[in-house]
Amino acid sequence: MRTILIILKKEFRQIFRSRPMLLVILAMPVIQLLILSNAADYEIKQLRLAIEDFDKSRLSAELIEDFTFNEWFELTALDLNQEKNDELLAKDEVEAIIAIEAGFEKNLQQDRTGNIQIRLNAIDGATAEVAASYIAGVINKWAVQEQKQVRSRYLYNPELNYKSYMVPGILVMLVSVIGIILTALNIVREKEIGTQEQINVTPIRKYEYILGKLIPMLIIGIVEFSLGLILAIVVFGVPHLGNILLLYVYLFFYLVVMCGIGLFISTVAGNQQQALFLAFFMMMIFLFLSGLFAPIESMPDWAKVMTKFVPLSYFIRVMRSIMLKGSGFLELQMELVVLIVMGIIMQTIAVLNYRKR
Amino acid sequence: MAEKIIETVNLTKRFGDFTAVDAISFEVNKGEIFGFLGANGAGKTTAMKMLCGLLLPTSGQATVAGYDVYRQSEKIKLNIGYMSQKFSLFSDLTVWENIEFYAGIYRMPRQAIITRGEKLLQDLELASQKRRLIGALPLGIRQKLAFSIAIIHEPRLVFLDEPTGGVDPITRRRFWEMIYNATERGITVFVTTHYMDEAEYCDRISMMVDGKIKGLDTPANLKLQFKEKSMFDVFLQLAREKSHEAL
Repeated sequence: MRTILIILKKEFRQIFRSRPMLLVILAMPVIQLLILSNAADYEIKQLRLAIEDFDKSRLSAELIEDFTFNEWFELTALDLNQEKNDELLAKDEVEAIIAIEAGFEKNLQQDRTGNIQIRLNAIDGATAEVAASYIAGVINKWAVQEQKQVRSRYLYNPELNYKSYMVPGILVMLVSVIGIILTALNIVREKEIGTQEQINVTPIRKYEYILGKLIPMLIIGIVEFSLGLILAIVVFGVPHLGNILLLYVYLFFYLVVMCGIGLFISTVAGNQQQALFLAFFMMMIFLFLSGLFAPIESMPDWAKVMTKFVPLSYFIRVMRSIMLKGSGFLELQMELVVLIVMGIIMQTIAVLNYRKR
Repeated sequence: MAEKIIETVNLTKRFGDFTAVDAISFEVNKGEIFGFLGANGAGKTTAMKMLCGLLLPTSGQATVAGYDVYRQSEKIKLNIGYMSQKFSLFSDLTVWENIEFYAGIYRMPRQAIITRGEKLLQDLELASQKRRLIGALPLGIRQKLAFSIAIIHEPRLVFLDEPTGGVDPITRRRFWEMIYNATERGITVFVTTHYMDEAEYCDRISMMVDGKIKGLDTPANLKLQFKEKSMFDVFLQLAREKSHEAL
């Protein structure tokens, strides 16, 4: 126990002595959140539309007018030729097609359901999703004026504020970087300068050394996360409907997984360069399969299967659920189990692979 | 018979097809300065790493301070000090923080760390440099400090792997004075070097060529045995033999 404290003392002295490092740790959440949450904004301006009005009634004309006078939309085609419109969609000349069925006005006046079909090009899943929600928004507004009911499927993040949607995910990315890259580099650096060898001839036990290295990373990760969380809530106004403490429980187990990966990388890498490449390689795959930038739902099946092995995808889901939906532990049990199992597996592999000789 | 602190029998280390250390057998007496000489790549460092518990031998036996290198490497580590050719202090920590760290992981009591640490600084005339970063000190001072820290826990045996590489002659001289002081305190010194003048300072020397020990005796006896005037010539003779074999 005393040995671990001695290692911790040394680690923290080194971290606090390195000003550039401190700066990176403190500035990273601010800069990343500011840049990424704005850059990764799926808001779409000038959405090009094709409208097929099979009803040609007063109500349908009003609805079309709402789209025409809306700054977010640009009516590109008003044509009943479905094939031609589909072609426009395929050629990316319009983002969406709205078809108003024949008898739309009559049905509504007789208190029956009036149908509007929306066709989207979902190659870019994120854009399609946003487009659909914008269109639904216009229809909703129109329906309120006409005193008709439209049911919206968008229950969470009701204003469709993409910052609210992105920021929790970006926070996850941030702590992942800390966990993997900082851990890997910290250990490999000692290998490189030779202090690792010196430590290996001392009576430090393997578990003492590993704990002495991982605990500071866990603490930095938690501090980093807290900074980001405060920013997210105070500056970006991201809602936090759920239990923040629960968030930290998940964060802890998530960081254990990430540090395990970092430790593993440090055992296979011979120098900092190799470690950095390996860490980046893994981060890239993790990010693309995390559901942060592209929704998992729109991925091909094989990719969906792969996301099951990506710890980020679980923690991002947890973050969004707890913050935006106010989910409790009961709805997120599976995620906790998966994260704990992943943590145990990663740490075991890493520790077995770490050799004192 | 002097007490033996290291005993090896046919100690061997192979990396794939390459035999770095080829069945070496030798003994080191308690309290002596044992020099391990050889050209670069002769297998000195590999042999030393096996004795320190940094590398597992391929075959053969070895005990260090009475403990077996295969099964009791952690016990060995408590009883030895080690200073490698790579720089081993933390350059982003101060002189005192390094002392505190290394003394601490050898499980020295807090009070002992303070008294021995202060004594160490006085001996090295570094008391005023206590709070300076290691990175800001000249190489010679860092090497002397690294040696003092390697034996701060009063080990029974200290391994020095080319400790004076890149150091000026005056500092090397001072360094050897420190080594003599350590032996007076009862610490056995196992040192690798390829400075032949340093070889003369050792009580006994083993000459390694291509993973094998080609000569093992006091410097005076080795010179007699190989009929040469200096250790430098003994070394050259052995090295030439090797290059003739290669031809």
